[in-house]
This record gives sequence, structure tokens and C-alpha cells, in this order.
Amino acid sequence: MNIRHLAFLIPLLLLLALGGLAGTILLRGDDPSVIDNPLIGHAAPPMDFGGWNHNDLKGSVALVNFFASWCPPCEAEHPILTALRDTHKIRIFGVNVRDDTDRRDSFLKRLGNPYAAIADDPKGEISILWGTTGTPETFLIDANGIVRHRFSGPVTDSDVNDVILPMIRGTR
Amino acid sequence: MKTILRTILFLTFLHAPAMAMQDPREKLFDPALEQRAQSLFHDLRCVVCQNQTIADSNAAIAADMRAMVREQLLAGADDDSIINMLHDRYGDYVLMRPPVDGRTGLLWLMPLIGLAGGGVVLLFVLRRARTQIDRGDAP
Repeated sequence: MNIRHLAFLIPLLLLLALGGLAGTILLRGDDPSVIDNPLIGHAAPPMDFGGWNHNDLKGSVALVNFFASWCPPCEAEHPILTALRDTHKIRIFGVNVRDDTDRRDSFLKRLGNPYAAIADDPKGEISILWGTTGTPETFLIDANGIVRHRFSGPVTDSDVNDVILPMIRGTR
Repeated sequence: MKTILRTILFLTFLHAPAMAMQDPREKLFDPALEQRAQSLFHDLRCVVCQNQTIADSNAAIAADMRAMVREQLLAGADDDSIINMLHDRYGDYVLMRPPVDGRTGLLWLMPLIGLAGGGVVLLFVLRRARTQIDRGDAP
């Protein structure tokens, strides 16, 4: 058997290698619709749109929460944010996305206001500045004003227990 | 049946450009700037869509991004700085054309690798064909 007769195996092997590569990437279980946020590990972007600015974030662990009155998942995470503020004294800075002030106020009146301060973002400028893709979205900021984590979608109890509380306790 | 299917298909595609239209009120007054804006829109990917540029998307965030691009153009920013600004915020995902770097190098080189591989195979086949002709056992 001539070694050359095995040449037909080369494309087959290439195909298998490619298939294997595609397969491992597909089966890794990442959600391709969640985009990596390049802000993680960097200082919060400088901003001054009223309400609060990047300097306010420094001092202790803080959350930046993008919310809106038109967003049901925001309503779902609201009690969790309130509990975080009440029991752990964490400061939450709100960004009110594409909302109007009256609706925002009645939303907060109905559900309570956990925010230390709120910046209004009627044109989505702050959202683009932070690279958000949806609402709600929440960023965890350490005491030095560095962005440490992003929660895409509503913050859950396991997010609080696994990520936020350890950071407040200074274990990560 | 076939005719009906064809008609439906035809109407669907006829309808497509209308669905993808941007709000004409967004347009910039200066036609040269507007043209630059449109060409930038085609390089930027809508971050909540699977594969659509912000020129084609009617998602709220795409509209906000278009507004931001136009605002930057009016403020005198150059194309690269606008693209870089969005790239800093959203990473490679926002670019319709991924940059060539260590991670995407294989992707960009793939056509060349494929061509080279095909060339090698072709070379072998041709050489074998020639030896067969030389031996006189060609048809």
C-alpha cells in the first residue's frame, strides 16, 4: 500500500478537525447573545449627565443599575436591590433608560427608591458609554471605582450570594 | 401551488427594504456628513441583533447609536475615533469586520489555507495523471 494512496484522508481529517473545533465551541454552553463587556477591570467611564458622576462611585463597593419603568424584569429585581441597600448598605446608582420622568417617579413611588442617586438617560447616551445591550443591566464597582462585574438581565439571589456579597466582605 | 409560493417569496423580498428603513427624520442636514454617517452605520453591528448593521436595525439601541454617530460627526469627530469609541464599549462584536489579531488570525487566513491545501491536492492529482499518461495507460 503506497503512502500516497492515503492522501484522500487529508480532507477527511481536516473536516473532522474543523467539526471538532466547531462542536467544542458550540457545546461549551456560552450564550452567544451575551457580549463580553470590555469595561470589566477598568475604571468606570467618566460621565457627567447630572444625577451622579463617576467620582461618586469611589469610596465603597457600589452598584450601577440601568433600569426603566417600562421594563418588567427591572420590577422583578427591584426587591433584591432594595434588600441589598437595606441590609448591606451598598450604594446603588441608577441610570433611568429611555424613560420619562413622570413614569419613573410613579415607578419608584410604587416600588420604593433604592437609589443613592439617579442619572437620566433619555437618549441612551449613558447606556452606550457603559456598553449595555439591554435593560436591566447592573455593574459591580469596587471601592476604587473599578468595574468588577456585569450582570446582564435582572440581578438574582445567586448573583448576590456568589458575587456581590463576597466583594462587600472583601473576599474577592 | 408553486405560483402561490413564488408570489409570497417575491412579495416578502419586495417588502424587505421597507422594513429596514431608518426614520427619515434622523437624517443630517449636510448631505456629505449624512453619507459618512451611513457608511459608518454599515460598519457597525447592532449589539442586540444576531447579524444586522445599525443601518438596518430598528432596535432602540441601534437608533441611539445612530444618533450618537451623527452627533459625533456634527461635533467634528473623524470616522476612526467614532468606531474606536464604540469598539472600546462593546468590543469586537460591534464591528461588522472583525480586526486581524491573534484570535481572529486563523479566520482571516482560512481562505488562503484552503487555497494552498487545494493546490497541493491538485498538484498530486496532476502529477499522478501525468505519470499514468507517461506509462501509456491513459484512455
